[in-house]
Formats: sequence, C-alpha cells, structure tokens
Amino acid sequence: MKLIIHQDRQISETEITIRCAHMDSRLEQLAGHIRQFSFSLTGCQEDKEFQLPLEQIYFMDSADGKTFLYLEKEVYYCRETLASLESRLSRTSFARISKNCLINISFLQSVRPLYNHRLEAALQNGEKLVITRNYIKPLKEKLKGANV
Amino acid sequence: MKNFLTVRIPSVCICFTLLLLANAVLNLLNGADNEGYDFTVLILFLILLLCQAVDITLDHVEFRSWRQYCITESLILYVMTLAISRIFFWPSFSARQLLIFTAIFLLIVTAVFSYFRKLQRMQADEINDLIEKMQSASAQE
Repeated sequence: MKLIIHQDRQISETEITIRCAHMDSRLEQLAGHIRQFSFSLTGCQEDKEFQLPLEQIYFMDSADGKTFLYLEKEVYYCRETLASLESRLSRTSFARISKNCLINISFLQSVRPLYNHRLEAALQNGEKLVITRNYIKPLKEKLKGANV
Repeated sequence: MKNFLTVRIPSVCICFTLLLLANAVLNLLNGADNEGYDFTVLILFLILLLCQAVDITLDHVEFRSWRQYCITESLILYVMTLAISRIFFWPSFSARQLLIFTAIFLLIVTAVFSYFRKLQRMQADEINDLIEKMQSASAQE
C-alpha cells in the first residue's frame, strides 16, 4: 500500500482519499480510524461549549437521563442521548459495554472476570468499568474487527 | 477445552433436562407415575427455574467481590432448596438428612461457580489477547 502525503498551504480543508481496487476489512478499519479523527462531539462544561475530538474521548455514559463524555481527566456533559451517539459512532472504535456506557476500545487496557457473568474493563487512564454479559460478545466482535 | 466448556457441557445439561422433563410429563399424562418419581423431576425443574430467577435478580445488585456474590447467592439458594425439599420431599427432618443435603448442595454450588468462573476467565483471556494484538498493531503503525 502506497502512502502519499501532499502538503499545500492553499488547501483549506484536509481531505483524505482512499484509492483501492476493493474495500476490504483492513481498509474499512483504516477508514474507521480516519472517521474517528474527523469527528468531534460537542461537550458542555459550566455553560460553555467545547468541540471534543473523538480520539480523546475515553468513554461515555448516561446517568439520570444525562449523557457524559469522559476524557483522560475531564468530564463534559453532552446534549445527545447515548443511543444516538451509539448509532452515529457505530463505525468508529466505540463499543457499548453496558446499558449506559460506550467505551473507546483504543483506550482499553485489559479486562478481568467479575461476579455474575460480568467483566471489568480497565482503561489506560485507570478508570474501571463494568462490561455486562449481553455486551461481551459484541465487544469481542468489535475487537476482532479492529485486528483484521 | 473451550469447546468442551462452552458447547458440550451446556448441550448435555440442556438435553438431559429436556429428556427428563418430557419423560416425566408423558408419564404423568399416561398415569404411569412410578411412586412420585415424575413429580420429583418436575419439582427439581421448578427449583432450576427459581435458581435462574435468583440469578437474574442478583444481576441488579452491586457486589464488592466475587466471594461476596458467591456467598450471597449460595445462601439464598440453600434456604430456598431446603424449604422446597422440606415441603415436597421430607416428611420428617433429621440432622443426618441436613448434613447430606448440605454436602450435596456445596458440591453442586462449587461445581457451578467454578464452571462459570473458568468460562469468564477464558473470555477475559480471549479479550486481553485481542487487546494486545490491537495495541501491538497500533504500535507498528
């Protein structure tokens, strides 16, 4: 695979074109990574809005009907529901691990068994999250997709 | 090993339960109950269903550790099965009966918890392998 980077100060918006004979699963994966970089979500903190690059978000969860975005250390409130975020981010590195949590598998460090068919996920920032039994298989599939 | 734990053991258990259940129901319908054997099978099936109900209920409880979860579930199941045994099977109650019951209960509970613990360990190992592969691929990029 050839990688050509063309720099030109007159280009106002960065554009990535993939030229291929066939879009296989590896290229899909690559496209997923690129999509993640082109995405940003709006997060709110003390009535101020911030554009948060997707690749900096470790996980998202919802509590009491509110959605929160977790970066390495900061937490932002998001106006979108977790379900809408999940469908928007389906082709990125985000995976649902419980009814109220989506994680960025890029930051997943390890998992360990917990009680009652659950697993505990450890993220690179030290955060620990519970993976419930219904989401173990989809998470495995997502990780397998990331390794194709 | 994985195939044995995730496919063979569950399929044998499912088939065994369904065969016993079908046999018991057919015998009862045909009036061929052999000294309460089929009734016993149906009560044992009821116990299995109740065990599942307890397990599902405990899904909603946050436990601090695996041990706490095992002890809580075991205690609930112990009291429940003991009560059902007393109501349906034991006209009298002796220390010997209780001792044998407790020994069998502990054996089954230990086997079931060990089975699921092993299964979860395998799941965790599989996911950790995938994470490791993903991280080494990212490092190469």
